[in-house]
Amino acid sequence: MKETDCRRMIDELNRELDQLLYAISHDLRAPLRAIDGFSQAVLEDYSDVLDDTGRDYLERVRGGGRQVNSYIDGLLLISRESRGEMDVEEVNLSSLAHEMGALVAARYEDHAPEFRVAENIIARADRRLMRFFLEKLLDNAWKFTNPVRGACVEFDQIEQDGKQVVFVRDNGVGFDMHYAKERLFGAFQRMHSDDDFEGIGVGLATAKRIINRHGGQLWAESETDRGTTFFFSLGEE
Amino acid sequence: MFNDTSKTILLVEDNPDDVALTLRAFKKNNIMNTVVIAKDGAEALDYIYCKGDHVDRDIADTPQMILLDLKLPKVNGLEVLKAIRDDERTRLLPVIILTSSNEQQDLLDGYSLGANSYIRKPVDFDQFTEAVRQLGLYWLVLNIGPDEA
Repeated sequence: MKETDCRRMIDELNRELDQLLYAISHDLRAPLRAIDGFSQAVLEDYSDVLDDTGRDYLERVRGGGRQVNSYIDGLLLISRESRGEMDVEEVNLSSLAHEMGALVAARYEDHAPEFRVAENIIARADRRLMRFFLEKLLDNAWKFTNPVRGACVEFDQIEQDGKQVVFVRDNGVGFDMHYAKERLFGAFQRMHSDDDFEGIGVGLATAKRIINRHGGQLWAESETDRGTTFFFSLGEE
Repeated sequence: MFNDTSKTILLVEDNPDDVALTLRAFKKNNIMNTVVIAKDGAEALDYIYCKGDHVDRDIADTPQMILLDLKLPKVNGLEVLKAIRDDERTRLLPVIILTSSNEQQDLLDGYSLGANSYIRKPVDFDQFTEAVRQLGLYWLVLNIGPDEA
């Protein structure tokens, strides 16, 4: 098969996948509304005949519904962020890092890691997708340095085999590389339990899709309690 | 400023669960207006233009507010909206699109065809009730309709 035909088929399949994700996510909302709404209705209208156990069960029904809703949000995020046309131009990744760093920092009231950004890191990329990408990596860095004192997040670049490699490094809780192989960038795969860190694990899956679209690479190095570094390169375009 | 409860609300919605939840939300917010339900676009148009099952209705008795879902059987929401805006007698009726659709195109089409407002139905019931409360407060109490003195 010619390469152009192959490319076209891949694009077509990606488009269909995104449309499918969207359709599924969309159709699930209505029944979820029913689950949440009528549970709440019973809780409110029949509170006099419900005991604590009854209330607890209904709250669990609502909780389950909310979780499904979160997963749907995640699926839509993955599909939507990959749906638009790419608009490749020269992007100052350092400026974006500053911008997204400020956005992420605003979410964490009591946590302010030191954030070091190397200036003038330029690359050819889709600005909109890179904003989303950097936001995901930086939010991860913030989140996993939360329990750490002297927290620090760095944005810089190195040269590896003649290629520009940019990285986001944190000195947070890290993760065991042993478990990383397939799990790290799989949608909904998480490296930490629900109790320790909130989140449904779609951020990195979307980040990977964005780098894939750029024809680049995304990988990570980490050590438990030492920190994590996410490296990425963007393809030639 | 008060709510003239003799005016009807037309709810165009095909999902019976969403109908029940919307009615409950009205009740919780003490919105006592009569709510007329049309379960598809054809029924909505029959009601507004006094045709079919509603042939004995007075056409001058226009709904105070029309809550319009987009994905409807027979005649879809946007087609209903277009019909309402194309007819001199109903051109000015307040139409609020209340939909689960996240599609940018639906939003654009809705406004282009002359919807007064576009609201996405939340999944969380408390948020849904709050949305209905705000709709009621705005469209039934605050907003001055085109046929009011």
